[in-house]
Amino acid sequence: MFKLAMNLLVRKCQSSKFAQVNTGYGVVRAIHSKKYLLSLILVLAQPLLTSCSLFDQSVSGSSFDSHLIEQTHSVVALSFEAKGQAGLDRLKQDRTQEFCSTQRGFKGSTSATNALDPQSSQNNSIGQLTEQLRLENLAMIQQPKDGNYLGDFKRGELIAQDGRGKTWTDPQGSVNGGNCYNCHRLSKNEISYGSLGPSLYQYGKLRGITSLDVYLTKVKEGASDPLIQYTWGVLMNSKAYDLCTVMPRFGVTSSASAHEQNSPILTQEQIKDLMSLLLDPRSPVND
Amino acid sequence: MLCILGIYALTGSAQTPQPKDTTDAALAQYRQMLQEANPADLYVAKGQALWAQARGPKAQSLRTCDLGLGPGVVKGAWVRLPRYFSDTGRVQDLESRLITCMHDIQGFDEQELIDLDFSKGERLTIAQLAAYVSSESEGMPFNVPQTNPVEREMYAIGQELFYMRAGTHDFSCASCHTQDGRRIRLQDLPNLSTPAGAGFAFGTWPAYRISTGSIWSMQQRLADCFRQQRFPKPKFASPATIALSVYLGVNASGQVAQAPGLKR
Repeated sequence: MFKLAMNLLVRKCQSSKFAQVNTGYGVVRAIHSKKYLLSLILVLAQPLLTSCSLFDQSVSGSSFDSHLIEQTHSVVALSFEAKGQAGLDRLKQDRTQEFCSTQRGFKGSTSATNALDPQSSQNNSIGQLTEQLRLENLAMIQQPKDGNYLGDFKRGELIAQDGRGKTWTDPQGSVNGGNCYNCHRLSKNEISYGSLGPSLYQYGKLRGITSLDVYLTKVKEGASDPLIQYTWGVLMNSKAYDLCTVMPRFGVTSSASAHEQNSPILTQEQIKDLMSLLLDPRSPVND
Repeated sequence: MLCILGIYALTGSAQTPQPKDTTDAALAQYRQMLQEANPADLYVAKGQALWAQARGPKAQSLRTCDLGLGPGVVKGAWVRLPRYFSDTGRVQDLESRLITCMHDIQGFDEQELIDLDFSKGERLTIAQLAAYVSSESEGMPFNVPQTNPVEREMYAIGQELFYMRAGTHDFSCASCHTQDGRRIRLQDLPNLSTPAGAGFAFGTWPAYRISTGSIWSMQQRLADCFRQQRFPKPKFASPATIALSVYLGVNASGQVAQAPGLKR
């Protein structure tokens, strides 16, 4: 719905790139008519969104077309089946997912330091929308109930290595991994690491945790320490810092599906262990 | 796993971390060694025999099957797929077209073929046929047609699907496949938005997968991508997987077909 609103806008600016033809997948078009109405309301509520040139700048390589979006929805509706724990409700996008589907540059941060900066303050409508959605994500982050942000780096390493969880072949209710090594370099001795995300090797050390004393002070300070607050936030919900990052939201539920709302990828306890993996001077990450 | 063992064997050092370029070179060397005796060739031979064999309820061969270049023409057909077929009124990739032929000519039940698991029974037949048909385009440049408006719309839908973020991990295809020179663990990730990346990915499936010891078709490859994306399961030869194949095939225009390939 949200995407349709944006597309209606863009459509006013651009002539349709693709001829409207019957591909045989238009069967659920009627369902979307209500969405059009809602979309228009959304459009009226977002007067700043009406500049064509801004969209041209930010949406690269593709001509957005509401008919095309409908066709795509129809194709999706015809093409997937629920299997194992992966239900069809996973295809329902939340606002962040819808918006980020239209942002087609690569959104992986090239360095962890850059990700520390607040969202680039583009003085345009896309920038405002990005900021609005980012704040929505920020509001989703929960702080640990006991005020303790740290766990055990040894358990953290196991979670970072473990890539299981949430696929249709993973048993429902099984413990999920964090998949960290898929994208990040972490400890010095693990050479099988991916490069989609920045290196996190010496994450804590490079940010001033040079001794156990410093670390224990930060542990005591907890939420009031900016590094603790930031690291917890990124692990809980990366989208609160870099809206369209490829990093999953590990501690909140990103899916719009009802039955998964209380089942984030990782538990708070697991995220505490990852915090220690990144920050503890005794962790192999800070070796 | 085999892959990682291979690196250790080649570098002679399982203890010391290797710089990235050394790792990449070792991986490339390992793949080249295996490529010289690709087990996929066995599936090509099997597929060729199955193509010519009278099979199915109607006891017919597939020698009259039209893959887009006319009845029975196999050479060069694969680099022009997916394409629009007027007899079925839709855009079909190789595998969905094989299903059409197996139904129309040999009398197999289409839905039964679609509902089977990958690599089992007649679905293994389809994978073997795909290995054979793709091998008959080896060395030819991709030229997936965009002449029909339906073909162009399927490309556009494929592109939408490629960038569609959803599920528990917010992943789209693009999350992993829109940058050059990136890896998941030690596995290279082709940039599927570029001709070279799309050519490498689309042009080397079907492939023999060392990790599973079996032949995998493009449909199976895409289904497993969606599994790892934490999406629900795409149906075999679904419009979504065909649209994505159009997107990849057209992006691969001019790139040379190398299927069947050899994969980790």
